[in-house]
Amino acid sequence: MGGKKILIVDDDPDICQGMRVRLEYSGYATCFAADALSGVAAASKEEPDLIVLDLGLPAGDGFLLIERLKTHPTLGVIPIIVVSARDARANRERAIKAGATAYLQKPVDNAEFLAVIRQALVAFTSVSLPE
Amino acid sequence: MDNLDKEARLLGKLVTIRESFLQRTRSELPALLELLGRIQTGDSTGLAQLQIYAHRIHGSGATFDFAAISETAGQIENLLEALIGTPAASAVEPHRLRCLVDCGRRLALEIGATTTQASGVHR
Repeated sequence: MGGKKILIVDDDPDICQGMRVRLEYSGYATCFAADALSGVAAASKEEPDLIVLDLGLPAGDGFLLIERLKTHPTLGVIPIIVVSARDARANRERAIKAGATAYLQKPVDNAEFLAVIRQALVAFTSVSLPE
Repeated sequence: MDNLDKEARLLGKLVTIRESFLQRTRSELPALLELLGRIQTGDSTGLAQLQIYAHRIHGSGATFDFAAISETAGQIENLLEALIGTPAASAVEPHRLRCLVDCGRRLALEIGATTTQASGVHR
């Protein structure tokens, strides 16, 4: 999975940096956005292979971003992993229904985080590649 | 660079990020307490800003292994969810307001007492 690019959408710089060093250690490239609207712009510009998304964002929450991306003609196929401190009982189903691939509640175990990313990328690649 | 070196560098970076979280949270504490003070006097204009602080501390605190700080910030976030949308803080049930202020004080104490050596960093 080396060389895959992951867009991290989170308004907390410490969280972004924490994810960056962990993901880059595992061979991924990273890029960032701090709110829902710039997340859409960053996804268009960077064309990431996967998006890691927080729900509590300024200028529209994470659900807005999922909605915008999933209705986008080309970006809609990118897998989205939601990573949030919000109560999973209230938000997991909504996020998955909206189009997220997985929902992880903070704090996230790093091994689980990487496994979910890898799984989503494998599924995405097998869907994206021609037979 | 061998794997041990690589891992040591990763851990070093994570420790630095943890310290940065704690430092930033400490620097935000006066503003957080000021917002709580305003809410106590019936001014609800700071509720949304307080919720932003609480949400950040809740999520990042858990991520960086500051469990007590994260839990208290989560309680504040939950209390604020019930208060946001209330026309004026003066209309809020007094016990909710008391809980919010108590949680704020506890959070301030926990942040003040926490050091980065208190717990580990997980790869």
